[in-house]
Amino acid sequence: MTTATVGIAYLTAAELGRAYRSGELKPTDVVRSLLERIERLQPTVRAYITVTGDRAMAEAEAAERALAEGDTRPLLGVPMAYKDIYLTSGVRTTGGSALYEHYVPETTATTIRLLAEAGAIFMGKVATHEFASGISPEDHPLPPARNPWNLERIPGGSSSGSGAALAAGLTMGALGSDTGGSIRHPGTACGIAALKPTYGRCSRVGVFPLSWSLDHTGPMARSSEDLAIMLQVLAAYDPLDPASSHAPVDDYTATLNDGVAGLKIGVMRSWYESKTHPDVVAAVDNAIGVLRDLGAEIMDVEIPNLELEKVLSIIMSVEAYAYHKHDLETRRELYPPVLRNRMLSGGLYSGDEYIDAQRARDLVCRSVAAAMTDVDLLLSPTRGKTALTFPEAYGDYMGAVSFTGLFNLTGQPAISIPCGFGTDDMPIGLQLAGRPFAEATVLRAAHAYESATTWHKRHPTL
Amino acid sequence: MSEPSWEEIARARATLAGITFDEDQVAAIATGLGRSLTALAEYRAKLRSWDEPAIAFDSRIERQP
Repeated sequence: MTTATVGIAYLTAAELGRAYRSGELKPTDVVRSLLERIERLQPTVRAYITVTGDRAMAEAEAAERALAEGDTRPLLGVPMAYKDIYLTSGVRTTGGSALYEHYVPETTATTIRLLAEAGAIFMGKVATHEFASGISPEDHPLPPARNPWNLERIPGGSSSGSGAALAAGLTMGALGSDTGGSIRHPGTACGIAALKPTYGRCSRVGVFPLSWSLDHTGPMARSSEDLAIMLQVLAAYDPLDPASSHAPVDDYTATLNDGVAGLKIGVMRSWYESKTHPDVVAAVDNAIGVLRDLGAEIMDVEIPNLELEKVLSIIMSVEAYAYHKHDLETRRELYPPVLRNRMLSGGLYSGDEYIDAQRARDLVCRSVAAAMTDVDLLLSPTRGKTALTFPEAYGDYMGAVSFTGLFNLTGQPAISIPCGFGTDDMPIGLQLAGRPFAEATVLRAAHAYESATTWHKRHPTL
Repeated sequence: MSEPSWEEIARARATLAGITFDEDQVAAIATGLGRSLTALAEYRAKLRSWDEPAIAFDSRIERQP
């Protein structure tokens, strides 16, 4: 039973689809197996806030009937979990906060509706750092998820439950959100594949905002192939999201096997190397070697003005303060002290400082865009070191070295995929960023790397 | 006279904005403020009146019809 359960738990969505259609597996068996595993691991991993078991079983039964009738929807019968800042009609949506601990919305986020229409099964809502910011304290009414690779470590965040649920084998796919790295950080910390698409590629309607000009939604999964399948469903114009784009949607799976031969990959070595732990540098160097062996043209790139990416914190703080100001004034006590004070700090900046931060951002965007006229992808680690311990994270979560925020400023697509392990046995992530709306290139390169390595197939012992 | 510390700057700005912090969080707030404003100062040091970026409603992606 244990072996069979683990085997199901770590299937990819693509493998699951093939197993359903060959008759090897049935959605009800898969969902039942995952629900048992969730029940067993929830006390330690704490990935889920709400498990919708009855609904999941009912949807699995419906998927079984649809499969029998030849339904070919891409995610039919595939279990999904949703970060608890995504609104879900009839299902509690907490935002990870005491302010919304009992809130049951009447609407559903566009992205979840799209996944449901593609046949995905709603397993439940997963943990998030409160309002997608910082890290929730241990004594929080909705305590933080733990990293399945080491329960003393954080699973990254803010899409913490999405990463933890995937690494623990408690779902086949998940949605996260990313304002400064909140999809890719749990991606690297939990050893999974995680994609922040281009700004405007996926709808943010029905998702608690953190910072309107930096917020992205996107898929998290066990492989880049699964990310491609999910993105194909998620990438769509949404008239209700003012950032949503009409840009044509590529066929992300069609080019997945095209390899990296001929692709030019710019290594941002001078930006990351001195700030990065030697374990991470070594893993990324190995990954560069793999990509070179696969035929990619590798070159170091020097991009000016990258030090200005720290203005992201001004933009994020001010926009978050604008969103939370009313609650900070009227329900102040419901915010935990660290988050409350961090949110309040957005009120310390002047109007001219916010505007200048946006202008500095434009300079960063132009510098990166100029560099990308010579390369197809930019390469760096996702983070400067492996997952923090909880005490480290409570000490200075925002000060940890990260290479993700740059691509929130520029809006470019960026992926994190596993590329090794540190001497502490924790996963390390490789970040690849592409030109705006070039998700197909990002996914193609990630898939080529995964096809030549096995890091993404390793799972924690639980 | 010495330059004010980031904590003094944070306290002065909080008073001006009518914001009350929890006392044990002021040091962390000041650290974050210092990081951000130092980065901003680097940008401002590069300013040229004739080529500095103008702000746009959305400067990151091509605007769609």
